[in-house]
Amino acid sequence: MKTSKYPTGKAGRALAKHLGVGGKGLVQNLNPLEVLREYVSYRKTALEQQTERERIAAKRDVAVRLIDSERDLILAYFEQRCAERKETLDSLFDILHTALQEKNDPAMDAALSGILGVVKDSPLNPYIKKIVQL
Amino acid sequence: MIAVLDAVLVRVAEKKDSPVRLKNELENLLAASSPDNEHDAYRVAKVAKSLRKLLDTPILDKRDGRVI
Repeated sequence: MKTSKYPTGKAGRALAKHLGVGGKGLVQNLNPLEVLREYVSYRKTALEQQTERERIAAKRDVAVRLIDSERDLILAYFEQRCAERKETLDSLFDILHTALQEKNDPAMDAALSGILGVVKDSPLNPYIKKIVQL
Repeated sequence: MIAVLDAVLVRVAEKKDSPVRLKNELENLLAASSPDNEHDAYRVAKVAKSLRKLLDTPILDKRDGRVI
């Protein structure tokens, strides 16, 4: 069996080559046990850091999914609310038009109050607090 | 935030459309009304007042001094 003059074997040769002049002596004086201990420590830290990265990535994915679902919910809400408001306003303007043609004052008053009520009520109101936080 | 911007656009369209429709009704009413008829004057005043209120309505609300 071929024995290496470097106590750390193939890795030691590579390291000595990498370090250049003076590296050879440095590598030959290395304590293999110490190298092994350092390597194990490095692997342990690397694994811990990898786990931490995976934990952060999972946390990020959950947060992104939460934002996406919240966005979908807000979009659906606005879509429905806006359609509902448009329908209500169309009906109220029809009532107003008919009331003015027929000179029906109570119907005109009701239609005008309704129109003002709908327009004054902003569809964004329930989300104002949330928007301020953004 | 994009969803909110979409809602703001819809709100702006609504805020633009309603006064235009009410103004058209007021113009029709004025064309059909007689200046001597107090019932006609009442209706014109009511619609004109509502139009002013509609125009005064902010597009977006204010909270904590910030326009939203």
